[in-house]
Parts: sequence; structure tokens; C-alpha cells
Amino acid sequence: MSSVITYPRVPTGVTVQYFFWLHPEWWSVALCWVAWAVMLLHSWQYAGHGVHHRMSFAQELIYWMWMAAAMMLPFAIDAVRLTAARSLWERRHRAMAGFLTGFFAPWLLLGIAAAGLRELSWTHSYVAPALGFLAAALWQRTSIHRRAFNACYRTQPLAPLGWQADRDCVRFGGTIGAACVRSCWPLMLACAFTGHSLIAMMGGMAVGAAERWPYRPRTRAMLAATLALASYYAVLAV
Amino acid sequence: MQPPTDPKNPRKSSPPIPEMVGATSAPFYIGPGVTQISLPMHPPTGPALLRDLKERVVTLQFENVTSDKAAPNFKVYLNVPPGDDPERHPELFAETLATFGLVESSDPLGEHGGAGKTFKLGVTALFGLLTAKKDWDSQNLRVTFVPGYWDAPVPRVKIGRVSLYFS
Repeated sequence: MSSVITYPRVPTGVTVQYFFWLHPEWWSVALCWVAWAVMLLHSWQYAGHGVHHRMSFAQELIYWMWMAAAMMLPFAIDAVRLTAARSLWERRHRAMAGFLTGFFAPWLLLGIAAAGLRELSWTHSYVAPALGFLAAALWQRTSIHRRAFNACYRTQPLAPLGWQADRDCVRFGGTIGAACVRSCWPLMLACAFTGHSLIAMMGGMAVGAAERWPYRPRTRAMLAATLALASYYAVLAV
Repeated sequence: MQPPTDPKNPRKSSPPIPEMVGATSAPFYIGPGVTQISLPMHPPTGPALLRDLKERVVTLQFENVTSDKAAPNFKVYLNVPPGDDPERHPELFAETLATFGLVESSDPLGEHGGAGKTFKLGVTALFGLLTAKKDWDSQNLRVTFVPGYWDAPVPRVKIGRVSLYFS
């Protein structure tokens, strides 16, 4: 004899509303996907140019920020969600916007430096990304990187209301963004030196994922992937 | 498998989503002696509205608790009348903040960058008692901290924020 237990279906509208209530960070995730779409299109359009692709300072900066959104924001989604969870219900999206403003500010500063460097001719050779990925591999072994990585998980108290709440959200985002920059700057510079190559960005993302998503960072896998990227560009350089 | 659904109110029968309804606006210190703080509360505007007062799960959260010295546990009481000795109101005792590992979690070089400890205390039963006694102020919550026994001077412990969640 078999028994079948049936439950009435939850109306679709309720399911959708429940999803958006449970995942207020949905638009941050969407922003990551849009950033990847922009970078894929960019890579597809200029793949033939490789490292020799030249853009204006403003274009370099814009694509740097898209690259930061594509590669780094996925690792900050938990913090975005935490910001929402620790805010009053009607302030959740404003709080997340504040967090993202703070998060991208340090990346913008590094982006200005990166765009400036891309004005120099030596950054348009395959030697530059090869050295960049080698530097990233060495950087991953330093205690400064380890401390920066730990700081990526830091949380901060957020005031519930008023300008203090906005300030705290921006400051929290800035703290996480600054730690993220300290942790990943050589890797991201190397990716920029490749002319935002898809191979470099996906490889860099894989290195970040091996560090952030397992319970303990997969340091050997990170080192192997970063050195593989360095070797790939070294081979192209000779 | 999906949870059973109340056909009359499917939203209500979904698993609860916590909604923050009040928090302190600046960090503060607790330490030797009794410390009482006040938590401004805001009416829920999200999923907490879907549940009746009696069905609500109430959680008190202590965030970013840090100290550079080992500290005793702290007893937490809710809505003790101002000036009263909390020990004379055992019915208002909520929970104990266990400070084990506090120094390690406060280390800036530690695994979470020195963010400290975060505690979640379930205070649903006490919330029920206070509402039944009509001693629950929907605009203000008093939280009182009392240090436990400690065979040395009680150090100051920083609390980043206290917040209250309905779900």
C-alpha cells in the first residue's frame, strides 16, 4: 500500500515575493552577471588585439570597473546580504547601495593607477601580464596578503537610521573593498595588462574562488593556477 | 519537499524571514558593575507583519563584541526597571553572553580580521511574558548587563551593536 501526501501549491506571486525578501542582494548578483556580459562582449570584440589593444584613459577606467564588478563583487555578496540583514526593512536596498559605493571606491583608486599604467607602452607587451601573474603568485604567499584576506571577512556595526546608517554602510563597504584590493591587486593588475583577456579574467576568478569559496583556501591550487597564467603569458612573450 | 501550506494565507506558512526592528546606533562598553542601555525600536514593515504577536520568534543579537583581555560571562536582562537590581528580577533574565574565545576573535590578525564575536539569543519566551504583563514597550527596549564572577578586575568589553529581530 502506498500513501501520497499532497500539499496545495504555493501561488507563484508569493514564491516570487518570498524569493526577493529572502535574497535582497539579487540586484548585486545581477550586476555581476551584467559585468561579465560586458567583459565577454569586450573580449569578443577585441580578442585579436590581445595585449596590444589600446583604449583611452576613461575607457580603461570604465572597463577596469566592469572587470572589478565581474571578478570581485561575487566574493563580497555575503557581505552585501549581511548589510541588508542588519538594516531596517525599508532601508535594505539603500544600505546595500551604500555598501557597494564603499566597496568600489578603493577599486576606483587602483583603477586610476591601472589606467595610468596602461598609457605606458611597456604594459602593452606579454611580459607585463607574465610578471603581473608571477607577482600575484608571490603575493599570495605573504603574510600581508593573508591578513588582507582575513580582513575580507570583517564585519562592522551599522547604525539603524539617519546619516550615521549611510556612513556606516559606506564605511563597511570601504573596509571590505580596501581589504579586497590589498588581497588581489597584483592579480587584477595582471588581468588589466592582458587587455582584459577572457582567459586571464576567468583564470583570475578561479584563483579567487579557490581562495574564498572553500572552507579553507586551496593555496596549492591558487598557486598552480596563477603560475599557469604567468607561464602562458611568458610563452606568448618569447 | 515543500512545507505544508496554509491555503488561506500562504505567506504566513512560509519559513520565517528575520526582520530587524531595532538597534543601537553606536558601540558601547560593558564591564564592572551593571550596565543598562536603551534600544530604540521601530515598527516592523516587512515579513514580521505577517505573523501574529504570539507567533513571532524574537531574537536579540549582540554584534562585534570585542575585548583585548579575557572577561567573565555577562548575564543579560530585558526591561529591568531603571535603578532596580537585575538580580531581584530573575523572571527578566534573558540569557548569558559566553565570552569564551573573545580575545582570539578580537585579534586584528585573526581569521575574521578582529571583528569579534556575535551572539544570537532567543528571547521569544521572555517577549511573550513581557507582552502578557503589558511590560513590552514597542518603542524602547532596555537591556541590562551584569558581569558574572571573576577573580580579577573585570575588563571593559566593547559591544558594536545590539539589535532585535522579529521573524
